Amino acid sequence: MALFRPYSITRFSLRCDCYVFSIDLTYIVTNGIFNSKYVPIAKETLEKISAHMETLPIFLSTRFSQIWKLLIVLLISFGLFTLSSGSVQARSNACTRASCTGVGFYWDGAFRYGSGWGADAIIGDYQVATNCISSSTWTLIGNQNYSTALSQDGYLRLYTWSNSKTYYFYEYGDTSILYDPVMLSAMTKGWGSSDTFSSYYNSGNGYIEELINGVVQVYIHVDWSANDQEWSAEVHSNEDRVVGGYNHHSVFATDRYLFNGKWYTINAPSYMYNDTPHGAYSASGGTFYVWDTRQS
Amino acid sequence: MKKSPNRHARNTAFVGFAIVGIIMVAVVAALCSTWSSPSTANASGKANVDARFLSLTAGTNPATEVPDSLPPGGVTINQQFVLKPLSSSVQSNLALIAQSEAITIGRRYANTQPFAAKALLASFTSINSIPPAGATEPSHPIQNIPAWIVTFTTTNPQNVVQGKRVQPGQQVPTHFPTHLNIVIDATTGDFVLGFFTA
Repeated sequence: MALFRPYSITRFSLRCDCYVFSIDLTYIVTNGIFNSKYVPIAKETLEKISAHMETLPIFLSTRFSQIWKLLIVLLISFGLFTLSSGSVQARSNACTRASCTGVGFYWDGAFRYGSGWGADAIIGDYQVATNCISSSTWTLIGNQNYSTALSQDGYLRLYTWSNSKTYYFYEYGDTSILYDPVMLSAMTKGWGSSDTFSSYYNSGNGYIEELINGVVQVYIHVDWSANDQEWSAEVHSNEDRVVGGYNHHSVFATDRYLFNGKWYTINAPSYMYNDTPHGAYSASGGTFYVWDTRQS
Repeated sequence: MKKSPNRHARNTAFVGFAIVGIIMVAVVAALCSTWSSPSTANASGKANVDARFLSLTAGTNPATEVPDSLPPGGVTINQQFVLKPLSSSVQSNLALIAQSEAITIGRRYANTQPFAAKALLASFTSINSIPPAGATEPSHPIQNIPAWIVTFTTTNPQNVVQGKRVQPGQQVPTHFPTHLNIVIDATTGDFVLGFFTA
């Protein structure tokens, strides 16, 4: 056997891309595009690619003709070129197919549509296990007529960028644009802790203020006024875990909205909504709990 | 020479039509202005211009990415973050952490993979963190912080937008940024902020 290493695909490369790549090779082998006796790429090597993403040596038989070697190199080159030069959306879809299923937007929380310029809650007992894209909890105000008109703050974990950090974050948009979330700091508290998140329009200065534990983090200038208040956990795929477990619920306590300068506690059971694939909730008074049914 | 009655009538009609035309144009313009604004936008009397923006971004160039080097006036990224060159006096008077150390620290916050990284030294301001005039609440302004902007790049972007529950018929917006910029305090090594660029 001769070691033939046109590329070295290591852990530095991306899991999803490698996975897709390995499927392509499997397809080639299993569909008899090359006669199997001339393509001794071991099954375990393919499994190693997709499961461990370790360095990929491709062993080729010494009997393997140069033309087939060249074709393999061209095939690999084309695959890598495609992965590296495709559109952002295309790469994401490839990744989605490979490792994240049911990609979408899912919520477990309370939603109130009506006049009100603020929303706040004490969000506690945060824990999030493995995820695929993201898992977050937040309070929000927005304008229900525009999907981008919102201002929110809370906890956020984004697997793409960090597999261990949960961040305090804010995100906002105008009626025509939604800006990416901004990470304020890393959350280092453990189970049993809580933070108070508030989003409200301050008519005194004309800005929406995002507060964490009573400290204004940002003053947001927007082109809408609020008629939507939300308190929610959110995930983006089947594999994303909702915060909390069935024995350790995460809590949204004292959920309130601001109306005519006064804060009112919601009756949470009247406003609950749940469409996460594996999320569950219970609600009583102004408090509700959420958890992932796969998590203890 | 005396004007003929017909000519006088024509002039009167012309002036009349002109006045009516001007009024109609004004009415149409007003209606267009109303229609183009969101029905509930600014219902609470908010000003259309963020008063902080002009003063904080004066002299900067608009940008959508963290550049490899800063122009003399600095840049404003996505109307949210201001990066200005760090003066030589600041650089000489402060003990700044090295670029490599900043990248190492940044990797604690972007650790899913060993992302490609670069770092830019700048004076960093988050516009939205700056209290408007008259604000009295406790706040956390981030302004003119000597900082390393450590830019990590992924070839596998995922949607980062959280958004909200939308109404039937509305689409949830998504965005798949390629860069995560971790702002590290260049004097302390502390995490200051993290933001995405396309």
